[in-house]
Amino acid sequence: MNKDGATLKQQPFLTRLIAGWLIPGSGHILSGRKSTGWLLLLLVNTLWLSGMLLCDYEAASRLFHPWLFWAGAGCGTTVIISYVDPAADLLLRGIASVQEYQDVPRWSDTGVLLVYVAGLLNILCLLDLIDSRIDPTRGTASHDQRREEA
Amino acid sequence: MSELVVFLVLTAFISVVHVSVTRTADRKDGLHREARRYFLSAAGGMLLLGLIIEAIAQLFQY
Repeated sequence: MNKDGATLKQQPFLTRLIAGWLIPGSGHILSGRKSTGWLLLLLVNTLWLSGMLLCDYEAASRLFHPWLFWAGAGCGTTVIISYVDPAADLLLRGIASVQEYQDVPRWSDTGVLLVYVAGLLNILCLLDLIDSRIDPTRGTASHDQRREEA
Repeated sequence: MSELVVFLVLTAFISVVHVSVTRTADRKDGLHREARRYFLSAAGGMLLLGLIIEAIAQLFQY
């Protein structure tokens, strides 16, 4: 609701869904659920960003994680970064890999885990957006916001 | 110890996100209280399970 009491105009559902996929939490903000949206934006993006920095963007590389990558694809930016693939330089081949493997950062696996958990959590957030759209008992965005703040 | 901290922080994040997107009609307590309860259940349960597994592993060692 804006200051005049009129209902806030919502973006089209597909726009909110895509925005929520690209930037976790933004879909909820565009739906009018600002407190939930900002909380999700802060938490999920913190997980994603800290994970990416810890693993040197390895989590966004389908070379390193051809299957687990799709768990992280719940966050759209993981998919976008995978096309650039900054971690491709880290891939070691041949005899040199035996000696250089010791240089893998200690927190690399933890970083990958954080990114994939962020991706799965964002899928949960997107499902919540879809549920609020298809379930008639959820009511309007302003109604959901009031219930959350209660 | 550092991995334990990471585990607890991750579980806390998961708890808050899970409670935030849970259907609001079912929520009786506030977000903080429910998230805290969920965190204690999830983290406590997993730690307890870890301790049990560790104890069983130690038993089989000797």
